[in-house]
Amino acid sequence: MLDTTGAPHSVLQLSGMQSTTPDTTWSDRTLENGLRVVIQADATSPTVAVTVGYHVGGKDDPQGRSGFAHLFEHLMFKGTENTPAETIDRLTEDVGGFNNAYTTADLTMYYEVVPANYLEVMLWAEADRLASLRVDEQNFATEREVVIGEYDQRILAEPYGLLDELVERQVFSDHAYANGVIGDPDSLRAASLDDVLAFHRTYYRPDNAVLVVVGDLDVAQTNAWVDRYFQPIARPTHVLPRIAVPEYRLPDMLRMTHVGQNVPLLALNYAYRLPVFSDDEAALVDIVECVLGLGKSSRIFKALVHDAQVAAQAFTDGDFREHAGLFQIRAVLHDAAQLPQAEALVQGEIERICSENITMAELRRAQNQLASLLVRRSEGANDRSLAYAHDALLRNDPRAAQADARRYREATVADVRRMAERLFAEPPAILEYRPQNEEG
Amino acid sequence: MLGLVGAPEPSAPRPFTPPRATERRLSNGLRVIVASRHEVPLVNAQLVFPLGAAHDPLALLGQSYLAMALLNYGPLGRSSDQFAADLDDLAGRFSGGATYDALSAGLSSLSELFPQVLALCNQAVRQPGLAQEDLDRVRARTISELRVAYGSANSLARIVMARVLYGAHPYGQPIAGVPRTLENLTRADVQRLASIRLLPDGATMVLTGDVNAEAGFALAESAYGDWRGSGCREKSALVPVSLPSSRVVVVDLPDSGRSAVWLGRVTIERRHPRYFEGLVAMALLSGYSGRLNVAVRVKRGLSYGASAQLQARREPGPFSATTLVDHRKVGETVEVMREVIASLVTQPPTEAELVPRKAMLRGSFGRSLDSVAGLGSSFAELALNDLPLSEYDEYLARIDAVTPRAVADFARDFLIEGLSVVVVGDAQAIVPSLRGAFAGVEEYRAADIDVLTI
Repeated sequence: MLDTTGAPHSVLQLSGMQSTTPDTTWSDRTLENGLRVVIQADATSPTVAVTVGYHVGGKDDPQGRSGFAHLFEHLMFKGTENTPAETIDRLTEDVGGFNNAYTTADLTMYYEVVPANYLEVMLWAEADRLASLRVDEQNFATEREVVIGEYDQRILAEPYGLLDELVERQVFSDHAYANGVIGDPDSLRAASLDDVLAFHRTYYRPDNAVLVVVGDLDVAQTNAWVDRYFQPIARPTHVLPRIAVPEYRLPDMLRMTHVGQNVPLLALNYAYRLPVFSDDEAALVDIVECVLGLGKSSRIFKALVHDAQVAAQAFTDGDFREHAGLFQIRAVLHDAAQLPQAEALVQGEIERICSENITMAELRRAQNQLASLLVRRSEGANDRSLAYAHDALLRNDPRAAQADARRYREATVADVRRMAERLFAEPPAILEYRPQNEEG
Repeated sequence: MLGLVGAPEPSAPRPFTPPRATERRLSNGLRVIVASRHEVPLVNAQLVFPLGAAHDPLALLGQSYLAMALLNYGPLGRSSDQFAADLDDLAGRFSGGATYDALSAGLSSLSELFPQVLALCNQAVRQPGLAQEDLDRVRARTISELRVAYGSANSLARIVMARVLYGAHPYGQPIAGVPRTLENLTRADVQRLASIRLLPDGATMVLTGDVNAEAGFALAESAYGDWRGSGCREKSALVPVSLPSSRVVVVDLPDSGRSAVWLGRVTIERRHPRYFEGLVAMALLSGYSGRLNVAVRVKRGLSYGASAQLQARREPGPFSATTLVDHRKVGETVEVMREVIASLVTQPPTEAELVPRKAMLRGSFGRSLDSVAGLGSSFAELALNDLPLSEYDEYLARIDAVTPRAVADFARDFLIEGLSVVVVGDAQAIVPSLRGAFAGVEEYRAADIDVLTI
């Protein structure tokens, strides 16, 4: 609550995180069939957000079928034993809600937002498509073309559309992360209906999923509905396959050049492969990311965009995955001829953050920014629901972010420097994404 | 509702009251609107000034865009480095922006830190630094962004469609300018803009989120109460929008993976009494189960998706229906999209078809309450269009009141006739697929396009 009468508080004293969970009505349990169920009541808007997250993603694509997990995500909208295709769309859109899904390297997330009085119907529909998917040759073939169209649209038509895929190939050549999530049209065309059915049987099971519901709801009533619709789904007896966590290793290609069609300016990317970090370590990586690349006063932005003006954009990105991490520094240069200068600036900033402590002011700023990001990311029920599902699946705690706020507060400048030294100990994988026509 | 075997029925709707806005006018003419909600510790403030990029002279296109982007560099007497550091210290967000109809400055932060963030940012609005070196930075960045936009089929189609629909009317000019006008803009140009358009009288400040009305008014008073407008205030009306004849324009962007297909025409202004009919018509066309997506994606697999928009503006805004398709399928796609738009009259909606489409509008209204920025934007739109704040409370009733007949009439009067077509993609593949259907196909090349001569 804003208090304009006294002096403003220091944000370091902000309890903050209690306020991101506006209503304390909370339930977190696991059904007998292994489904984890997280429920939070919050009446900010007259809606409920439902997320079902499955612990399967691009890295679990069958051999020779890269892009399959994502293709499968589309097929989950194609109907069940009890419902025709597009039922989820009708049940959401037609009552004023929406639905969507996305696939990452590690997870597949399905989510809906509907008026609160449609919650039971949504729970029924999600249980139904977990238990009894039905796909036939025709809608499989149609949807496969839609996914290939998505590849054309997102990867080929967009400037820099291939950049992330290239970095993954460059950095993870020993691991399925190299194949990306979207796959490629040839692998997608090779997929068969049998692959689809096997994939559903293998990964779409209650003990490989989490259900999260956030919104204007009654927790006890919601739990009763969950029991009614999800409890009858049996836990399969076969073993859930898991691919092996790779040993840490250096990328094979430390420098790569790609000439992109339809690219106006040169993009420079530095990618550092990370081991699997603990939550404490990851929080320090977040601070390094902030100091280097979040906001206009961050070091990389200031050096490349503001001071030297060699870049139109520059930012950093920490990407923590189940089997490895990726820390990237990316800049889009005004002029390809300034590449050596831009690289020297990036390298200079990396050396500096490893050799000198950041200032107390920088640490405090990063702490404020990260506290603020945590609040902003939890503002809407759907964002919060997705975050709970993600953290339940990959961190085994839907509210793992609450502890992140404490980790940020407790970090010292020496901690941050030690983490920077570890992060940047090995050489980066450098990618130049160059325009075809290099006049500028 | 769908007759699904085993599906439960929905329960009774849960009661809900949207947040109320209260308002007050400061002695300098600044209107202050506050809508409180306290679930999340964030405050959002939007300051809007009523003359936007549509008032930029032709020779100075991009003037509003550059000037408002420059607000982010802070006030006079403080270096942009220092301003950025101070703002980052407070984890505040501040940005200036320009639309055709307004100039705006938005800020938000954790509520605990908001008074400090506001104190920092209000000086950037009242006395922006507008330093030469910052102007040069923003100019270079904007020109780079334009090059990126011109390389994206969809972004270029948007820019070209505006020109095709509005011709020499200001809504036909790109807000961010074109490279040659950006090159020519001087510090004096952006200073002049700030001095005659960033004035409290006629402007509105909307505060939403974790702040009470009285605290909000007190904050507005402390930040802007002693601000006095000076200098001559431009108060020019735009030339009336005239409907140019429909055109078919293809822009060659050979390397784009897919063609951007845009159909559009000029429709009505936000204040128009039939605006809500237009909203319902857009809902019929849009969304996964909307007529466009069903025809283009679900039935024919031509595209990943298709949708329609009606831009709410002070002057009659554009209607556009858009999609991305294989270059060789452009002819078929344009035909299908024209048929779908025409179907609003030939196969008018039934009451039953309208039920879910209206629910879609109601749902997005409900969800806009999920963020304090969304709540603020709703009131800012009303203020900018000189509409009473009470329209916010009437929104759902106005949607409900639209009849099937009214939607068909709206389509007949404002959507179907005189549609223009803009396609950006591989012209070699596109043009043959269009020739059969259209007589005068105009061709341009993205590589050397001059938007203002289209």
